[in-house]
Amino acid sequence: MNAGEIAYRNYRWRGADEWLAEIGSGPPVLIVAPLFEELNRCRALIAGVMRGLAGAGFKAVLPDLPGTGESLRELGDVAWEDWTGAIGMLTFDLTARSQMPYLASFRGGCLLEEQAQAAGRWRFAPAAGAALTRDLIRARQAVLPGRPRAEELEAAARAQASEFAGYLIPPAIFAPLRDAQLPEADVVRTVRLDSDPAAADLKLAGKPLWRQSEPGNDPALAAALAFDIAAGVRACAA
Amino acid sequence: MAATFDADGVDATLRSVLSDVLGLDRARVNGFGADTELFGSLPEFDSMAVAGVLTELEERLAIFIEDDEVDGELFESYGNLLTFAKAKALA
Repeated sequence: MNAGEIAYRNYRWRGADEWLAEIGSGPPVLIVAPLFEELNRCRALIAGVMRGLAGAGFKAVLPDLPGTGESLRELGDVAWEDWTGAIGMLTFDLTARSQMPYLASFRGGCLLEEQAQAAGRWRFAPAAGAALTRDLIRARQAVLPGRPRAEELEAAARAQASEFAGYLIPPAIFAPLRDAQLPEADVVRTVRLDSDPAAADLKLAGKPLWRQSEPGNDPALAAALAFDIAAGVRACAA
Repeated sequence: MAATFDADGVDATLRSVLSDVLGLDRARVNGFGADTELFGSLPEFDSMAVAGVLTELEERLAIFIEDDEVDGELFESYGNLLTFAKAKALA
């Protein structure tokens, strides 16, 4: 089945155009990608999931968050509320265009759900904000001389923009990320790798691509994730 | 989050983490002995990789690794890292 090509279009956020990618036609699935370098490492995986969903008769939508990807905004000019707000706005926009979307979030993307309205929520390997900032701080410690203490780097990041793994993250993102918990929701389906001891509705074989230094891919995992998302969308519609 | 391990389980988990995070062939990692040198000897094990190994270990062993527990010796050899992981996970 020809699922078509990935198409790019703009969405409007706070007076400026931002970008999203979409592929396929049918019930919309809004994908909220991992944050910062984890997105780069998972890019091929996410693309595989999107093509799988398109092939299964869904419309997969992947936005660039304001200040990331092709956005013309600087990350330093963006706040956490821009991210949660943009995701929320996009769910309302998709609802108006066709129908309420299914939300499929990956890793730190799961933390951005709070303003979204969704037919169902699906999360892959969700992580609390504190775990993600701990990882960012470790990456920063690795490249700074003298191995400054984590507490010092965190305090500094809450006060001024700091560079983590190539991303200049402002306090308006770092601080809320650090404190972010997974939003409560009535119905959430959680999928994790089988190497992850945390609770999940489904565990799948695969490597944590978001942890590897080099971006990688796992087509079998992408197919399994797309299959599970599709099943979730159909179950919500039933 | 519940993760219970015995000594062999910690060893297997550590090898799996090194293989997954560093992108090393699993058979090669299974051949690591106590004296196998890591940081400084394996090109894949650079300071950025250290961050990924620490965080992944925390997650899989359900432990918390403090700043001052990480010193230069920890990653010198597989044996050092395994001893540390066992002490944290089996405490």
